[in-house]
Amino acid sequence: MEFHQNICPRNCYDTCSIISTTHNGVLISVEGNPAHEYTLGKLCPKALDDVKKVYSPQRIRYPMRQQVRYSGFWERISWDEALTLIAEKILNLEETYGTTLPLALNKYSGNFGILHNAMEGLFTGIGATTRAIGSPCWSAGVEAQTLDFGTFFCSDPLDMSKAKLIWLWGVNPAWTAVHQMPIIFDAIDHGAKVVCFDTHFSATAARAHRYVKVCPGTDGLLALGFAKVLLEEGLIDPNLGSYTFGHEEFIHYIETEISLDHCSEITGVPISTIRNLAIEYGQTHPACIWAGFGLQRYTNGGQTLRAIDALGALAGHLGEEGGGVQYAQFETWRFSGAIQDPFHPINSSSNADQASVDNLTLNQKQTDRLLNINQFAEEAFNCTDPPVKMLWISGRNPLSQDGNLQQWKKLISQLDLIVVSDLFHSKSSEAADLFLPITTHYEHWDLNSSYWHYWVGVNEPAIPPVGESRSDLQIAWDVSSKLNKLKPGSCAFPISGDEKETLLRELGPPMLDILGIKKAEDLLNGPVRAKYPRTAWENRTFATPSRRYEFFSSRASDAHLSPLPIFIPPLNSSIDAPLRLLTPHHHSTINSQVYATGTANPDYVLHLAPELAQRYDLAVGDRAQIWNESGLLEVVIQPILGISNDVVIVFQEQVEGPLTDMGQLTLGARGFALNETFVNLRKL
Amino acid sequence: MSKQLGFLHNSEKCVGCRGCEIACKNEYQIEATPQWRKVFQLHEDDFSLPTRMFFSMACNHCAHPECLRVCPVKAYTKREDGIVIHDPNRCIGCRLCTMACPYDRPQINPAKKKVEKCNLCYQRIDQGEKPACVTACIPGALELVEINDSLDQKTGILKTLPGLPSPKITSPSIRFIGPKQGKQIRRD
Repeated sequence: MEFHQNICPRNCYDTCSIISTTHNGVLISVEGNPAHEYTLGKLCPKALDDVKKVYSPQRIRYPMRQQVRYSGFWERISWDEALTLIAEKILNLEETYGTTLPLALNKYSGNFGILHNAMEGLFTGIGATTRAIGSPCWSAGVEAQTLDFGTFFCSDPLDMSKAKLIWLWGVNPAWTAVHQMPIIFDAIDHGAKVVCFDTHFSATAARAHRYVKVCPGTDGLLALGFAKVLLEEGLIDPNLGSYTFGHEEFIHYIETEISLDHCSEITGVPISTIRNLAIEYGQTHPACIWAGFGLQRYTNGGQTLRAIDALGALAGHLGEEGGGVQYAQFETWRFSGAIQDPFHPINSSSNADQASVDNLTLNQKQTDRLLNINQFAEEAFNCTDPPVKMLWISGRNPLSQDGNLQQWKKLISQLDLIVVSDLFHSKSSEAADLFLPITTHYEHWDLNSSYWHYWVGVNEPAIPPVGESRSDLQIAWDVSSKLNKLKPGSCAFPISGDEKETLLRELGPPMLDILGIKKAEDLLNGPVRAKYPRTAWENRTFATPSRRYEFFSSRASDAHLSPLPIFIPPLNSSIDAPLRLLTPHHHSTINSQVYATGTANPDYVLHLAPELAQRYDLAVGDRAQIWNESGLLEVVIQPILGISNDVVIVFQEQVEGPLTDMGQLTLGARGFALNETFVNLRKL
Repeated sequence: MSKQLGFLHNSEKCVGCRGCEIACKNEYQIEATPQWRKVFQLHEDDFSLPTRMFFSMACNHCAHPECLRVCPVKAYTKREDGIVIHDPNRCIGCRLCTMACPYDRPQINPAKKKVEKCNLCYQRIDQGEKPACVTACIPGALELVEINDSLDQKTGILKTLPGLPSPKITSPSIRFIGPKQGKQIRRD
């Protein structure tokens, strides 16, 4: 029996460290790494099911071709055939249009491993191409925290165990960050009080001392209401002047613009509750707020997070051990980026088998065409000069997860070639021409960071690739090799290489410094915690232009946003679509990724308040339809307690939605205001 | 019998993630259908306020196991430490035990046409390890305990939960820490 170090690459807070066991080259078990202080030897059911996932009969093991889209008639082809089809199409498009811009890449977080960025590297090596940029997930919040603090940085998750008061705001760790729950329970055992704010009564809310139901999209106003009480009660940090910027302007805004009556009416939270909670928050030190991703998926999501940040600052909780306002971090992702950029200096000094870059066309000097990932189909369809003709979908399932499926249908009809690289068939592969089978994290080298804890580690292959699957990196080399064979100099990405060497090159001097290791190879021994302090902003020196916490942000006003955090109402329902549809994560899935043993439900389940169900003459198990102008969905009715009468919930399914207010500055594209989706409901 | 091993389940800590179910399946390579261990949600009607509470249950290794009593081929034995063992070599798949168990925990394996169930990882316990489900539980909601009077005298230890069969039938070797409901500020 052999043991291997792996890291769960799912887009999840926990990014667990895994020990896998193999016997005669077969993966037989996976367990949490006991040496990892966040994983603590335990895995969630999604990861525990990995052995079945790796060897699942549904897993695609060979390159496949579908002659007629949506037909489901897939034929096995060789890698050489697949690569030739791809390379010939790329060269043909380049010849026809005189540029490689008709070639588009839509990639995100199906596997968050760094070596998967080989796809970006391949596309950069080919020339100027069309890219999906931004994030469907967290953009508005990232930008809000960047405006306030200068960068987004959270305390170590273990820091939360020291809190005396924990506010879980729009976050459901019981379902989306299970390893945080024992830390919260520890805090409770040490006397901490936990308050949970959410739009619906979640499994986390059930374990809090107090649950406060907030009208969707009004969390920012609630935070401003709390701030008002802090002012009235004289509970603001007397030292604000020494480490914050613009607190007088913010206080003036609160005093003149925010009334508790209005706040209570809009948020649905009684004034007495607002007052009691605010006093408790102002008086208790340390007090920690954990703001989730869900509360910023609104048209006012960035303002909401800025208001919550400002509340934390006003009460003096920033930089406090066990306190602060936690969202996420991206500081442990400072990899060299050599894999994304074939022209990176690290690559020229390496001994990788570099393609000849002498004959580079002018294309490489052109810039990529960047499309917002949240409006990708629409923007790609509207590209005319030149049009998008070939699409590569990697690490994504946009036909399940994206907003506007009608736009996708239009885009698909104008594409010459759609390539999907994945483990399993998906909604997106139904529309594809080519399916390339990729390896799981048990079959390739990789490098992983978390956006919540501070551990970074190497993922080593435990078994050879299943079937003919190949890693994204190998596929990128192979495509480059084929391109260069057909037309020498047509792609600057390496044509072959070594996965392990490639990953070590991602650990440049800044990462070695962050991790406190001397050489990249040291990380092969096991995951390492970055040498950041356990408490974010502990010395209250910030990364903003003023080096202070910025209540007033001139970078915000430069971007045509309010310089102060303000309340902007969310979108309202209408007569045509009176119900707000929320689509939070389910404990058994990461977006459209499921685990095999899960109790698969053939139907979308619509959760709604019993009273609302009655109003629509619906009982448990009834079939119904929700619809709006962008689509309809058949659902099965499940009344549950703890939801308001203006909200319905389908856990993680596709919906249509507008954009968030922030995200443009820090991530290049505004986020997806997923929770601003409204539907109508009828019985079938 | 020198002692009685059993489970202590804390509904306050169990978040319903089902890690215990999968860990059990992984340990014994159980096929999809039989679920030796299963996570159930507590019926919300049994509480004054909405609750999102769960409990995880496998064989309860009862003090008076009905499965053992009804089995016509003596496939069931009870060890000195109270673990109820099912022997698949003797099992004829008659399903009497699946009908007799008030908790529905002996499971028929449709492929093998025999019953199977949790044997409390006795082989792990004999080596001083904890059962796979207990080891896997992330929030620490499931514990292996000795069921005795001193446990039952502790505050907050419950013999049953709303919706479960009366423990008088079989004296199950499971104890619960029940849900504590927080204050809920709602607008409905």
